Amino acid sequence: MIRKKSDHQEFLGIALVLLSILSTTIVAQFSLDLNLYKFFNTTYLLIYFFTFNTYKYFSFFSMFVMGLISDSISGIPFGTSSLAYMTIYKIAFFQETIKLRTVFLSEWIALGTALFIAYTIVLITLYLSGASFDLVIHMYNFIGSFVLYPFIWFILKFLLPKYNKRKIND
Amino acid sequence: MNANNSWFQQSNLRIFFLLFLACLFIYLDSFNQKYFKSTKAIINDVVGYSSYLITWPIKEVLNIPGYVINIATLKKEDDYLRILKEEKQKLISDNNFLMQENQKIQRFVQEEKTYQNQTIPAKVILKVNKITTSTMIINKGARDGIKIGNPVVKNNNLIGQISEANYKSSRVMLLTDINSNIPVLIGDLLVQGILQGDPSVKRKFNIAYLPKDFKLNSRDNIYTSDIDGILKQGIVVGKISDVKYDGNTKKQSYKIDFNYKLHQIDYVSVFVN
Repeated sequence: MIRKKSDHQEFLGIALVLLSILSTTIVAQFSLDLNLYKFFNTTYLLIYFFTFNTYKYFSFFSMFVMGLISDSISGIPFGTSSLAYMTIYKIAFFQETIKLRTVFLSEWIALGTALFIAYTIVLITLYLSGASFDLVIHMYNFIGSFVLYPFIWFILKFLLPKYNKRKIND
Repeated sequence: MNANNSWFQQSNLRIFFLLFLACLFIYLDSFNQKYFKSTKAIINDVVGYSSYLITWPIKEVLNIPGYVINIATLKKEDDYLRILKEEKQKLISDNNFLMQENQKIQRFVQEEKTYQNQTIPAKVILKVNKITTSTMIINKGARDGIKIGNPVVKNNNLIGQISEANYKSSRVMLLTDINSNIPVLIGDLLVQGILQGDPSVKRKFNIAYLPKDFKLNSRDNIYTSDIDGILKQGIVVGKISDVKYDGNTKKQSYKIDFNYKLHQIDYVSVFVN
């Protein structure tokens, strides 16, 4: 007997990432005063989580395409989010291959590194392209995303019903 | 050739290629738009309309409680009264503006007529509020005559400027965007300043480059200035309220009231003159 994720469960990962990219447009429909976007970036966390847990549709290419979609919606230079997503993907992928996945702390610290590099890439790109940015808000966003990860991890790992692995016979 | 052995499937080459492509996109988008403009416009159009289609059912489902409440509270009557009120506000604003500008009244009346004749109505398909930007995407683009820099208004009040014109959609940079810098005229004396988007403060705006020791007054109107040669002079931006002056720090706090609620905007007008 083997344990395997079904196709719709595999698809759920990439769908949630796409939804998180679009979530700002959905929230903005109801209030532009909600400043939740300032404090965390769920897209980064979801990419890290699903890559770390080896979801099928997560690859360098899908991260590149997701990044382009995000940049197109945000209006920042094309390729910025692609670089950030690919960095997070690569670090999560590496962390998964070195077999430290049972230790949550190492997963969390690796996320901190991935986020730091991703935010640095975004800020450097914005600076080089001449766009204005608020460094303090980006720092809040980095810290908020890092702190939020255990909660996201707990929700996705244990509470999301579709995440439960399905048992199938050989 | 086996697909698994193709060059694109070889991990290191693929990574290098995609990283190179991302860097190339950043370079072309930031520094050399001439060669990338068409590609970007097509991608933006496709992503914009696809995102609208994907999020539309979600927004409608989330709107259901609002619909129910609207029906229960006879929203139609309320809306009618609101429209009347907005019309009244608009007339008052116009009147104040004309009184303040009595030296230039003929010129401004002509401009108002010009605006009426050269306006394109557009539907808002996406509103984006992110850490890096605060924008809207509308369903009219370069093929409809829209150009970068065109002012976008709602209820005769400026809400932003076109920052990106694709073929069949455009991006509106809202006044709250950190990159937004609008030259404005304030109050009866038409004092010049720059209205800057600032997401770090609660009101999301700052009026910068005001004359030294200049004090704002509640109910001062704000109009656009044509000093930068992009915007027309005299478009209503908003009204100053709740001015508080701190004598020790010599700093003043204030709010800006607008004649619209940004998240409720479905349709806007773009001045294309």
